[in-house]
Amino acid sequence: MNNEILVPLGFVSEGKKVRIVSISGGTRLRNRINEMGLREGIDVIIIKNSFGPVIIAIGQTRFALGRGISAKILTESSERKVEKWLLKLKK
Amino acid sequence: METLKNTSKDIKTSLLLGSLIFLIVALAEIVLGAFKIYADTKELEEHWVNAIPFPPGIFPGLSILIVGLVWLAGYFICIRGQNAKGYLSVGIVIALGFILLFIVILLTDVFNAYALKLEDYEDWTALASLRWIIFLSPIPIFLAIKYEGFTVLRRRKEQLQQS
Amino acid sequence: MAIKTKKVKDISDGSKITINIALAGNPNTGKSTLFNALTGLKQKIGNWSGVTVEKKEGKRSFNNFELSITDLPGTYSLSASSLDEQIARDFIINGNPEVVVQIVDASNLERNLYLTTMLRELGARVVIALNMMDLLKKDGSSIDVQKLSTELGIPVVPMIANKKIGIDDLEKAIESVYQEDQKPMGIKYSKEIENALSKIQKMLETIPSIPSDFNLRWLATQILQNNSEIPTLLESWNVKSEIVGELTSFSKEDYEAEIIDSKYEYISKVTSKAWKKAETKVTRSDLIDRVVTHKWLGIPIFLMIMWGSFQFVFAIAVPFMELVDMFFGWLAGLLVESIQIEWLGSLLGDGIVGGLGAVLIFVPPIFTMFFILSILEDSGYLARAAFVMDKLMVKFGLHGHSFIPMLLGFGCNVPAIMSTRSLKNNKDRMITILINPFMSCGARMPVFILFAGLFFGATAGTVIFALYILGIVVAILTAFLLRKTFFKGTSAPFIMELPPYHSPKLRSATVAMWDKGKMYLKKAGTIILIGVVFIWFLAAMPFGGVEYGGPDTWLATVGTFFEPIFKPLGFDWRIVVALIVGFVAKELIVGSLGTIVGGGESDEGIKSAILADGGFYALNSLSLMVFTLLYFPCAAVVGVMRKETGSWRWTIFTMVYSTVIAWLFAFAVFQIGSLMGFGL
Ligand SMILES: Nc1nc2c(ncn2[C@@H]2O[C@H](COP(=O)(O)OP(=O)(O)OP(=O)(O)O)[C@@H](O)[C@H]2O)c(=O)[nH]1
Ligand SMILES: [Mg+2]
Repeated sequence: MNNEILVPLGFVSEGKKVRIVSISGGTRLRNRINEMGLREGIDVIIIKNSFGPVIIAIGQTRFALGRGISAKILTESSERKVEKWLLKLKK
Repeated sequence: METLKNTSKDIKTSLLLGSLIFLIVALAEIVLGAFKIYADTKELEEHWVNAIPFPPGIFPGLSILIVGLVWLAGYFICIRGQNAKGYLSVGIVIALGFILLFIVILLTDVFNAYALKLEDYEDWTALASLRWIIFLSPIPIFLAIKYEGFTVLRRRKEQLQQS
Repeated sequence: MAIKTKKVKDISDGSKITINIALAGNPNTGKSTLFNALTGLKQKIGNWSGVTVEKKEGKRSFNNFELSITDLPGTYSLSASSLDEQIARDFIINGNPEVVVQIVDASNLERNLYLTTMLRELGARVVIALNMMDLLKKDGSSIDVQKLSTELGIPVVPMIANKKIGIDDLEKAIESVYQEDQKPMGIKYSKEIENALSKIQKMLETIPSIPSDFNLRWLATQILQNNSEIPTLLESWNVKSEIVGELTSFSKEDYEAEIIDSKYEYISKVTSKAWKKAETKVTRSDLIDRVVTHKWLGIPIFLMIMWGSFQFVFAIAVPFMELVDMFFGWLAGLLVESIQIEWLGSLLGDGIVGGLGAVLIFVPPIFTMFFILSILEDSGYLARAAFVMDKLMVKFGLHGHSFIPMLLGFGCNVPAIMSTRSLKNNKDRMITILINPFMSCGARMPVFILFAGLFFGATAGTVIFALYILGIVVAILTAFLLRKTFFKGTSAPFIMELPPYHSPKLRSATVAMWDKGKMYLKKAGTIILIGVVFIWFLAAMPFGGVEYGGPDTWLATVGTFFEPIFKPLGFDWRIVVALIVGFVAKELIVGSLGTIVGGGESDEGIKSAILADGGFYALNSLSLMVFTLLYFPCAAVVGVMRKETGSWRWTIFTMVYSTVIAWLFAFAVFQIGSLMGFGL
């Protein structure tokens, strides 16, 4: 897990499903975001990421996140994790 | 279930054709509309632009342009292998919205001219309020039936079957 | 912050028992919809987060109970990171609600239940109104309501608030909760936290000044989470500052995060048995969002929607206005002629009918405008418009969220300024309040429609559109200036929920239109009426011998005194007078023009009177429209600005600044126009 490459949310391409690994920035900010349902360990789909804020989908909720905040949210590909797991199985 | 990827070839040609027609008409209307303003300010009564029975206008032209641009963007999205259904629908909604708007304006003009007999409307004819986008209405209507209406009807049917 | 313990009252004497109820919940879950269904009142409803920003009380009775229900602003938690959330939190904690009805959006169960855990921890008696049950199937998820209720240990009532389904069951649940005690919620935190909690709790128990019914465990968790308001609270109980220091020293930076995590863990345990979660997937609404928020197309689409709206408003308005205008013109003439007492005929005809009529003929366009705004709010596009503008707003020191109050300003600036309460950063909020008056409200529209219609013919709709755009531009530039000078700093991070699109309902849009429009009519019957009578009086004085509205009247004396200031803008004394009374309410501008210009001999309505007058022409009416757009916020806005900014200084600044800006712009329009030969 440690050698997994973490990508800020703002750099994930559209249509990808990723898992949120960490939210940096102040503790206060992170706590408030957590309370909005945007927290470590959950999967999100990037709906739009080309200009201005990023749109992400969590269940039925859609959030628009400004560029600043989406740079602070680190993600890992949740699909890649499955691949890795499959590789392990093969071994 | 929708995805952001892939899309049918069918949509691609519709988007391309639709956008080309709309863009050409839009550009024509905008250019002629600008000409008309020029002719009006110079008071060239005899100018041929003024002889067009359906007067062009810049903003009405822009309403056609925006639809054309949305569909064109959709076409490029298609080429990149992404889902352009949203572009098709938004274009249709905007087009139908403006068509409806201009029909309402036409009707109120008719009312103003013939029922209220307002002074401003003395030498007004119904043709003068026929906006160009109204002539294009078969295209969004056709697309709506082909891509949207079908799903709406099907959903209705499903609902009926369920209840 | 006392949590009221239950009082079991005797019901036998026949008097009603009042239950104090708070409606709490995440934003946009249908709290106000439920409130309206319960109380029959008409709180504003809209499909975006942050519609309600002030608490509102209503009543309902059933059986032996009278429910006193309070609708609250939406909130994600009790941590309150903005003013509206603070209002909700303060009511829940200090307003002594005996039952808290939490509205939960069934499609977002997990996130919504987070607030439930906070409410339960606080010791509130909670009923969950599980709303929007109609959307569950579409999402592909399902909830076992019975099981959820047992797992949570509190009643859960499935509802569809906008169809009034589930109200009876909710009543029953409220009754039962009121009469029974709820078991405390069983969240156990990590050993470290629990240890700290019990230590704090022991210390608190030794402090006699803390009210005996206070929930000490909750207080302890707040202390541990470093809640910034706890020290003041403790001091209000005369707790010594050493003890406060000792208590707060228990808190650690990451305790709060850990507590949040434990709550979510508890939630996922509870929901795992009762909830079939829908997989996150791309929907049609997402595909549409990708288009309307498109890099190049987003702003043009928004602008074309705006342009179309003004065309629509104008097209619908013209024939109706003609009819109303003809009617009032005829009525005024009739009154002046048929009433023998001359001054009375003039008061009724010239003053009241002429002035009020001039305001009332704009009822059709204003109602149409409100209708369109309601549709915009109800469909969910409002949040997208804010999104689209974000990139631009960031360049000028604000972000997209500030655009929502701006758009609401197109209706009326008063609620628009109040809606800034949902902004998270105080400087952002101040700037957003101060620029709001530049957004053209419905009361300014009569001036635009009247003069654009008279002098700009077929392009009237486009001229009005351009004026609104000018308002936005001046607002954004002002924001930039303020950010660079008095409100230095960066804006809060931009996080906004995009609500799912709804197809707007004709009925609810009509209801919303009527609610907003009613205010306009009410104003016409009160302040506008007084204003036009006042103007009529000045226009007819001194008694006897002077020509009504002529140059020898008192009104003319006042007007000509100020005329030199406005001469370079192309205004004569009558326009000056109209603009001065417009300080009170912008509707009075056309109202007084109707009284002055439309009065006297003519039996025509305001439109024909102005055309016949000769003192008005295309260029000075354009300059008048620009001035009206930008100058002095009306009295109501001044009041709300004072209240929301908490500062007379900034309120006065806005009054002066906007008037100076208005003068400069109108000056530029008139002078440049004259140079180009558009003058008279
Ligand atoms: N489909 C569906 N929509 C609903 C239901 N209840 C409310 N709505 C819609 O949800 C939206 C939000 O309703 P509001 O009552 O304004 O929500 P609120 O919780 O008061 O929102 P804030 O004041 O912003 O916190 C509106 O568009 C309502 O029409 C429901 O049961 N089903
Ligand atoms: Mg509300």
